[in-house]
Amino acid sequence: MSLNLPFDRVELRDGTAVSTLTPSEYMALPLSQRIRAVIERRVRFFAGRTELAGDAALDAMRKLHAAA
Amino acid sequence: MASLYALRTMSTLYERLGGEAAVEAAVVRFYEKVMADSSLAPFFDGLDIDKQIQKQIAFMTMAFGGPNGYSGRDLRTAHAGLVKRGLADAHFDAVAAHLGSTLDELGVAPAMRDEAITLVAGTRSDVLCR
Repeated sequence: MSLNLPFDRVELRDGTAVSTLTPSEYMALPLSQRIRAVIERRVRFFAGRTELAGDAALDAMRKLHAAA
Repeated sequence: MASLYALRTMSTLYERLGGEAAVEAAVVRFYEKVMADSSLAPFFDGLDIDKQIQKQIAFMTMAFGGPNGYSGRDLRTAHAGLVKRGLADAHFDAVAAHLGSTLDELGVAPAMRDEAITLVAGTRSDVLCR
């Protein structure tokens, strides 16, 4: 599923391992897991090679769902 | 019928704010405000972060009129240790203020924001174990 979001890649760090997720895969994670990753600064949002601020990414996700 | 109407209205608000994604943004924003507050951050030392997040998810979902209930039970037990460490009215007021500004930033209507704050205010005596 393609989402209209200002980022196309999410990097999730767990210890030394880094997983790359699509926005859809990220949104499919349990809410508590997503929140903990953001609070612990273990998640980064990218549009191509450009990193997006976490709060901007969260707002974009919220607005997308609010508009749905 | 009034309660059914209210439920429908609340559900619409939750969805209008972005549902689960709104709760995600709210919990993160609220947590960051609280942790950036030097008067409050020490109280979070040693807390179970997963339990804390689950409580905040439940509360924010309730505050947005979402589907998951927030029991608010056992607040005295949950906060007894913090009261022994000095948790007082000033801290309670600061948390309520951070909650209010979080809801404002997410575009919650003032009436709904005030309702959530009123609900929080009603827990003061339990949270502060009086």
